[in-house]
Amino acid sequence: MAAADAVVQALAYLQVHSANDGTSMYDHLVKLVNKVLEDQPSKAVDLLEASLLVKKSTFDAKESSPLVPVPVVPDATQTAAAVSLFGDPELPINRQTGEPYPADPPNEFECENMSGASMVLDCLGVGLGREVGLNVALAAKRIGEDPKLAVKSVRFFGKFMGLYADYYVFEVAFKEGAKAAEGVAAAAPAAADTPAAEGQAPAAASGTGPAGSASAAPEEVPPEAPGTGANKFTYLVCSALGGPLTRLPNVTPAQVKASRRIKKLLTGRLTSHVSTYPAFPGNEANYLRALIARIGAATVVAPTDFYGLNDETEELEAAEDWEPPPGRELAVPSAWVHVRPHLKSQGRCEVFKRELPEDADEDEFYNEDELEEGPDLLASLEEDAQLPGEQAAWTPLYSSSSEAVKKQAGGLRSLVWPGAVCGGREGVWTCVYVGWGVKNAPFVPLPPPPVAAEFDWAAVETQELELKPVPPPEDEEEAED
Amino acid sequence: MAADIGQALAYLRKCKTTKGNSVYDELALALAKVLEDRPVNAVEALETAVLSTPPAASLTVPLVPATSAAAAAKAVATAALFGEPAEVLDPESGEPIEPDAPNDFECEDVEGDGNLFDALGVGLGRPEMQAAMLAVKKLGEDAKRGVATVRFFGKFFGTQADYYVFETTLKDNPDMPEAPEGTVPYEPYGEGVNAYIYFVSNTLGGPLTQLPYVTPDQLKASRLLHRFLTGRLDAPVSAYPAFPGKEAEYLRTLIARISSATVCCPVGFFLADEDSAELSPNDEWEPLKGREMGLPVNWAHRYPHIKDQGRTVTYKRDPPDEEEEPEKNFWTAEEMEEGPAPLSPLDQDNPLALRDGDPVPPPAWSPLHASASVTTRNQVAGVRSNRWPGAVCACAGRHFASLYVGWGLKAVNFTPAPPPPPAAQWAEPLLESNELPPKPAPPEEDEDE
Repeated sequence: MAAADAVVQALAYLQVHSANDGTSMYDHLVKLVNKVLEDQPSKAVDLLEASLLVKKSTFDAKESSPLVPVPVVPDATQTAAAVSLFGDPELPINRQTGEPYPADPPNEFECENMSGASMVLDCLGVGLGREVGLNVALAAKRIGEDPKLAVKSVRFFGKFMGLYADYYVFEVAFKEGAKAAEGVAAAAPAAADTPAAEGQAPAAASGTGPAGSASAAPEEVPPEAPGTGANKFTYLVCSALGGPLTRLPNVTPAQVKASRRIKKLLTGRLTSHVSTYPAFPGNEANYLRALIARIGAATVVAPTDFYGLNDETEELEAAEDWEPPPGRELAVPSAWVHVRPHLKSQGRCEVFKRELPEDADEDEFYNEDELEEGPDLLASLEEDAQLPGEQAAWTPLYSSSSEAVKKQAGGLRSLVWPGAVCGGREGVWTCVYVGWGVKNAPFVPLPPPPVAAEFDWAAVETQELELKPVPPPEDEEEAED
Repeated sequence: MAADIGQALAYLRKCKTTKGNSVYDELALALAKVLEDRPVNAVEALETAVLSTPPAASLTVPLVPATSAAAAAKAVATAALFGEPAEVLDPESGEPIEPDAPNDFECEDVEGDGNLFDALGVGLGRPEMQAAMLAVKKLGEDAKRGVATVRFFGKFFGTQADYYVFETTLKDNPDMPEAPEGTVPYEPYGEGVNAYIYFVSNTLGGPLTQLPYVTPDQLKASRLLHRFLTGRLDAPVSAYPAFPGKEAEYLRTLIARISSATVCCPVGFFLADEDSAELSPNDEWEPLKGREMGLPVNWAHRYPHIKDQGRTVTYKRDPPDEEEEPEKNFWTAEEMEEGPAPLSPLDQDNPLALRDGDPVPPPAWSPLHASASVTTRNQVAGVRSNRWPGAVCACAGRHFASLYVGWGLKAVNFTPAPPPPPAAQWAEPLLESNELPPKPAPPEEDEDE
């Protein structure tokens, strides 16, 4: 009996219909045996081949795949944008003459050796790779040569990855007196909270002082003027290299402080909502801009002694007699220095102090933010705060496991902002950020605010009974009657 | 019906499969396996899991089968270039033998050179140049060879194997014997055609062979030949016109001719001393913008020109009488050849021969650019030789390099040397002349009689 049961069970198992294959083992073996019996092969049968042949020749009742594959739209956009980078930009054609409008002469601009930079990063195994690096160089060239934009310098800041799309960010400085980016669309400002000062001030380098934003409320820390501090550079982003560029708005201290309290992935759409609690004053464009400000201040570096501080203009100048160290020596933090001003807790590079009233003590009047003194410009990376466990903030990157290879590349990668790297080889150096915009720091979401009280307890009726009023004397009552 | 089934079953038991058992037994085994294993996608996996036998677990089957043992050895040699060298254990003590201290040497940025050529779309490509860089490092660090400088010359293709060539100077030059009396003397090591010593290997990372010095006779003979290399250094080269040596010597002559003709430096990078023609670096040289280095006029020959005699400096025999002026036509045309000045720019090279359909003779050098756009910054630019196809020079700012990757054939209308005239059977003067010799005078009639 048990044997009979086993056979029935075995048969039942073999007859299980598999959705993947559209048939069951039982049916397939039946077809196979039928085939052998029909063919009556004279030579030996290869069951493997026969089985495959049976499978191929049976009608597949599965839903057939479409003959023409559905095109994936986002990839096509990326490719078309990248193709447009090569060669010269297409000129619009004058309808009347049928000839293209003559092109304006290309703008003169400065930028680093981008093909050299992508080679260094490729040697170190970081960054975007050489093919994308070439597209980045061509996109930067497009930005720089655009006569309408009239930029002074272009730098590839890096790539922010997002959930649905990525951002390629270019850091641009405008020439003195140039109007702010007429040729590029500005990101849609967020509702209400963005200070009006951002739209008013022209992109002149001298700019108005911090007190120039007339609409700043007395408690609110004013943003830095365009061309100074955190707003020294303007950032242009695109989702596809070669695609349309959007200019990000300038950053405000409130946005920087709020961005420190949240840890969000970017979506890839500049108008996305960011955070309700803790409230972020702006949309994703502002959030991205705040991230760029923080990451740029923390991770844009240059080799030690490459720049010197010009005492008069307080600008960094390339030193003429810099000797490039051999590649492997660039893999230590002491070989690099910060070249961007430190972003303070207040949200600005230069601390804004309220006007000190007379007879007030500095230390008592000013709050903690206003008293902060950060590190100087050109501080070495060695002095960066360590991570918990005495872990240095930067770890080395090498291009060769052997020390004996001459002419290697060496660099560092940041552990605080994963994705930020710097490196150099034979006198060519660079730094870039390729990441999600997420900081490697212990993060605790802000707890919800305490539950609001229903009403003001002070106004609550007391439990203590009031003194009973004294009854009027009885004489007066009789008199009224 | 039962009979049919019986017949069918009998047939199945009789019909053989490729494995030897009958179809019936095979199917029974397959069913048993399926019921035992109960695989997830049974029907899909029928062929792979059930019907096919797993390959015998053999440790000797490589993941990627080598086409031959030689190919496998080459791959192993190149792979051994990367990483730290394996420790060699002393067979007696079992302790690792300490390697000799690495030799101190100088070399160029071979990996960076690979980048330059890659930008221009010529050369070996970046992976192979990386292996070349490591091969240069291996040669340079070899304490036994004792090289002072190493340069990667390039690659010669051969019919059976290729040659990778390294141009070196040694700290101690080997001895060179004197040329036989009456012949043109050899140029000593460190001068002219023998300024550098060349090492070759068939694969990067493989064993290196030092090529011998080159003699004027060999150079003159190699100009008469137009042959492929085989890849074996001991292969015979040519019986007619006779080449004095084997493929090693022939390769050495090709290297001499190609390096003299195609290794270049930017114009103004070196200064040539007027008398001795020695080169010294020019401190005031400023690199040109990338695209301008695509013009041959901005490049100059780095190595001296090889004269028809087979030397860079012509050797003139001493006239018999040292005090008096030699008579005219004492020195042959070869010895009187002057040749171009050192560091001559490439636009002064002779153009190639005019071919049918060419409006002008093709120039000796053509430009190479990295970008079609004029405004792209930091471009690499260079020139390629039309006379020695495969020779290229590239420059980006201060970084420049030359490379040869080719078959060792010159782009010339080559006609093989005709056979010599057939030898005369005997020398002309011994031929019987048609003039009758004078008849001997008849004997005088005697008074006898």
